[in-house]
Amino acid sequence: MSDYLWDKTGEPEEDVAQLENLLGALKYQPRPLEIPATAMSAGAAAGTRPATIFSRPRLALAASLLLTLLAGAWLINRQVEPQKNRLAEVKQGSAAAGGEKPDKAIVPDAGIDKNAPADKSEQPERREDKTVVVAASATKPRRPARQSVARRHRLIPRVKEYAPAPLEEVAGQGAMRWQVEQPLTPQQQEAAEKLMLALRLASAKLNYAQREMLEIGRAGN
Amino acid sequence: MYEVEATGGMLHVIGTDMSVEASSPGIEISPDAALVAAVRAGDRDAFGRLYDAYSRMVHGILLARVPYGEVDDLVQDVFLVALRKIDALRDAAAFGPWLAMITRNRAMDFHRRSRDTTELTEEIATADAAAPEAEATEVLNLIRQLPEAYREPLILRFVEGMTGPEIAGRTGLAPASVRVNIHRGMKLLREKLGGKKFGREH
Repeated sequence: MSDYLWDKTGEPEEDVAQLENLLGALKYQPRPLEIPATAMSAGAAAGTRPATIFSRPRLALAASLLLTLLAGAWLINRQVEPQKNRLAEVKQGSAAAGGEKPDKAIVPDAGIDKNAPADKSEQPERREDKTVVVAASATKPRRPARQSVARRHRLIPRVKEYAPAPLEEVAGQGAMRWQVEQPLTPQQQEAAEKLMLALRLASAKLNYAQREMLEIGRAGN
Repeated sequence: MYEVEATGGMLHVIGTDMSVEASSPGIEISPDAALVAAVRAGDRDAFGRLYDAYSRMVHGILLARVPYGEVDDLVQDVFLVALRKIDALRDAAAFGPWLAMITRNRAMDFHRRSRDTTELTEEIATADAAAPEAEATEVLNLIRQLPEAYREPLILRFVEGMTGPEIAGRTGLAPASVRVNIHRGMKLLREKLGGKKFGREH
């Protein structure tokens, strides 16, 4: 069977050829496409916008995030700085007053004699008391040789694992510790409020940028 | 810019272009996808080539739905809509089916809008047509009375002179269904014509 009707191969049937000739008169007469300048530019602009990574909304989002991070880092740094100073003051004060080594303020088991046997029964109890030594690395002193030996023999737990004695006990030894549970000073509260304000501002900016992006997307469509 | 290298039915897009999806070297994309990418990058000529390739299809689809006198203007409208919305096209290789859908929607929109205005009936519209075209318009009206699935393929086949595989390729319809629709539509049209002969024979 001829398949002229399908792909124009073979002999056409008479009525098919007639219809082709007749209806061919109505076929599309090519005429140039009139594209208004605005349509083309709008189309091209809409097309290039999502293809690029550095589109305006994305840049706005990235800038907002960066600002948030910078503000947060700056505020946290401001918050931590007085604590460092306080620790340094404590170190200096204790060294001047008792002639004790500043390590005692930071390293809790400074009284351990290298010859004394390790009291293993005592260590688990101390670990349970989870007060945290803040900024230990910032104030990391040069350890005396006896401490290094003790550490080498695992007589002293690592600083991170170490659970220091309660504040009252340590204060009695002329040292001072900062605890996480300690109430915030007015300065710290102020800093915290500023941080929250900065975060709210950044959040508002992000919301605005997101809305703008959605509107641009709708306008593009 | 990128270079386009033709091999068989496919094109190889070589090189890198920020706005072209096929930014990695050697990726095979269809010619339509390359043209769509170029249009998105602002290439006016690329859209002209898409217009040349698809204007017959758009004309045929419109002819199956709207009066003959309105079709030419609507063809232009459809392409302008396509240009405006080309960013919404997810699969650039499916430009044909996407354009066909826009065309069908535009035809529906035409009828929706023309309800409010005085609608020119087919009889009046055909009365103005030139004599050789009058007979053709009469047959066209018979085709329009056929079920919707048969109208498009028959008009694309007889009016626009496209082959079955070409219709399937452009509209994104399955070749098998296009084939069936052409044959069934032709059978129904023969019944409607009732063996009528046309004067315009070559």
